Amino acid sequence: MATVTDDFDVKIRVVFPFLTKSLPKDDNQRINATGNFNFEPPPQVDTATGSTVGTSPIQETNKEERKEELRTGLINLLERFDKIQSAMEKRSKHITMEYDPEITENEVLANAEIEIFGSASGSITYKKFEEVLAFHEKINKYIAHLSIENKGTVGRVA
Amino acid sequence: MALFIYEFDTDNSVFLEISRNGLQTRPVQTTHNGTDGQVVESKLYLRNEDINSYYTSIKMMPSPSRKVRVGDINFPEAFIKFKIIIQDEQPTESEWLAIESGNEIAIADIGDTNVADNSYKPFWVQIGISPGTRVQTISDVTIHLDAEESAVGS
Repeated sequence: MATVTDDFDVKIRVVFPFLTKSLPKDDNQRINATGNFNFEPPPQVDTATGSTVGTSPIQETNKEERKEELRTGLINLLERFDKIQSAMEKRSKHITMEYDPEITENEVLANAEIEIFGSASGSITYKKFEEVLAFHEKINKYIAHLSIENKGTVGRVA
Repeated sequence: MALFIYEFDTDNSVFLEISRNGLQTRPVQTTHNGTDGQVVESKLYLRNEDINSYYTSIKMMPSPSRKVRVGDINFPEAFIKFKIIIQDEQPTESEWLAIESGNEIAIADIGDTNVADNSYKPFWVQIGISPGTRVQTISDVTIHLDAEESAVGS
């Protein structure tokens, strides 16, 4: 009989709270939200063979934290997108496409402007474009209205 | 000595040996929120690696006392709560409260004169850091193990 002794290593890391979000998975599973106890059952291990009987549960609190982070991130992203969209709309009002209605290559464009606005000015603004879209939408609504009134026979009004 | 401490790697389903004597190649590692204070619990295993030896009078304790004997008037500078409980299931809060930080824990014999016992013996450690602890890495704390080693058949 002999007296034996040994010292097994321990490393305790004390960190700022924000650093705890990137803890190794194993450490995260050991810590619960209140800092007291983890009541989730650990994986069942056959101590004789070392095989795992069950799987390790992920802390519900960690899932909730990740969900909350994801939700906040999405809200921020949507807010930024709304701002960009608003800025684009403001800037687009100043966009003007200039063309020469006298050149043969622009004949189709000039005729389209005459048909819609009555004359070929050689200047198509974004405002004009919006008016066309609004007009187009009104026509579609009117056609749909006729379709209902004439039992679906659009274009052949009695 | 052929008694070793292990942690269980749930991802790969293998036991990993904890390093000894300050090597720090694979320590029992915990991370704590130093601002709010935090308690971390970990399940570990003790195992005899030698089929020709058995162990008696096994004792395990967190060390050194000057760091882990929180609440002991003889060690007023101690600030790490470090407790050990020998059982398979995670101890309840009342079970943890029933023992003092830094207490020596007696462990049942592993094997006997007829046969060695090479199974993994589970135990739990609880390590706690108080609120307001500064950011740092503490690596001079250990789990100290004492035992009587005998040859099977002797």
